[in-house]
Amino acid sequence: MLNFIKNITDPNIMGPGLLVTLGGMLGVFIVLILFYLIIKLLIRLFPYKSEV
Amino acid sequence: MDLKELYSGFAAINIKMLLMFLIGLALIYLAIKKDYEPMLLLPIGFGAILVNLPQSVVKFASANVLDPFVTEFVRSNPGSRALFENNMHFLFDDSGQAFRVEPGVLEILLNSGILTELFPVLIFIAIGAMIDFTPLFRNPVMIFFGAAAQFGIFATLLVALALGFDLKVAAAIGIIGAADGPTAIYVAGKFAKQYFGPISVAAYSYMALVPIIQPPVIKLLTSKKERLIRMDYKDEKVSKTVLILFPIIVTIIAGLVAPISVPLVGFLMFGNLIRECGVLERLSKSAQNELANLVTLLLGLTIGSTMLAENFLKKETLLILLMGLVAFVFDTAGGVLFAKFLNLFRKAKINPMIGAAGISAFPMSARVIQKMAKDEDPTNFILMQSVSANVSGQLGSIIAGGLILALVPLLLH
Repeated sequence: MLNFIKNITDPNIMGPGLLVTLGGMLGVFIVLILFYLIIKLLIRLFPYKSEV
Repeated sequence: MDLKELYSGFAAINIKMLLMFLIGLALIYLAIKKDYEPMLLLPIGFGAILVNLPQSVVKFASANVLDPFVTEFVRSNPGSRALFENNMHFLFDDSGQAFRVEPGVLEILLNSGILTELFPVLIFIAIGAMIDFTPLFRNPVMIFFGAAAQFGIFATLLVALALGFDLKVAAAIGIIGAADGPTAIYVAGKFAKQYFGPISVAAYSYMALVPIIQPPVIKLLTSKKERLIRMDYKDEKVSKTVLILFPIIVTIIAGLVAPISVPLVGFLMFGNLIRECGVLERLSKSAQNELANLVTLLLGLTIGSTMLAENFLKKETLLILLMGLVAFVFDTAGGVLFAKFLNLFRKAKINPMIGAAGISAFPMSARVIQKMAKDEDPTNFILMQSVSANVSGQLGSIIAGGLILALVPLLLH
């Protein structure tokens, strides 16, 4: 338990983890926002046409 | 013939071996009796029993190839014997002769299928062929829950660091939160081979436990009024062109953003493309059935073979299994809280339970959310919105996996 508290307050240990967290969460959101825009664009450019 | 060889198997029985038999039996019990991911847990459980039988012949076949070079080398450098014995699979007889241990069948499968990442990427083809992105195209805004619900990966990474694991291993443990077996195996293969067994067991076990883990977390974070929110659903059709172009464009974009994610994203999208193109019905069916079943069978058995007693029965294994639970709890919380955050700005409110469906455990999570909605109000139907979020979770999990593979080595250099 003491080690856990010591590690959690150590910037040398947690610093890289926080950077991965920030970069990772931002990265996932940015990429999925991009996919969202791609979906919107594709649906607008290629609307559904019923097969006759 | 030495009579001792007749009962060498019985003589080798020890408490660790018996414990691993129990663990293997427990996994088999969960698979058969409780129906917890039987396709993976049963082969993993049986593989764990096989590899812990005396001499682990399925892992290391009998040592009968004399290696004169190593023999001479160790005689000149006696301190190197431990290295050859522990890391390079050599056995030494009483006269100091070195015999190379031939790999057993499961070691061959491990080296050729898992350490090369071949099995996980083949499964991605199968998964891709099973995914239908249509619900997501009808509700594109649900894609954001596929991002929010990956929060558990990073929260668990931080907890693992605080518990004393290094960054690579912490990342491999965190990826349990992707709720995606092949992604967890892929990242563990790159960052933490020594923890394949517990990471895989945790990933697949907790995926099966989603109906038990998610509801209490959702109820804690939402009010009854929020759980009763109804949502409209547009049942619009999507053109074939969109369904075909999407996997191609996603692969290119993901490859440009994080090139290391291409095996994950590319093979998933290839599987999806053969499903959607309309001219490869046979390949799509084979990918969804024969390929998925064959690779899953070999993958599970091989993962079980990594569960040697001396590697598995450690304090770290228990910590990893506990952190798997942490990962799924934080995933659920991340998705739900993000939905509540979006509702601060939206006129048409989102039922926050749908945020929890943003994990990759498809389709179980979507069904869990619909069941919870129906329990609150039998006339509230939010299954299609949950499925949209659940499908986007499959995208989000592989993107998160790819980003972790890209970011961690950067920080270590």
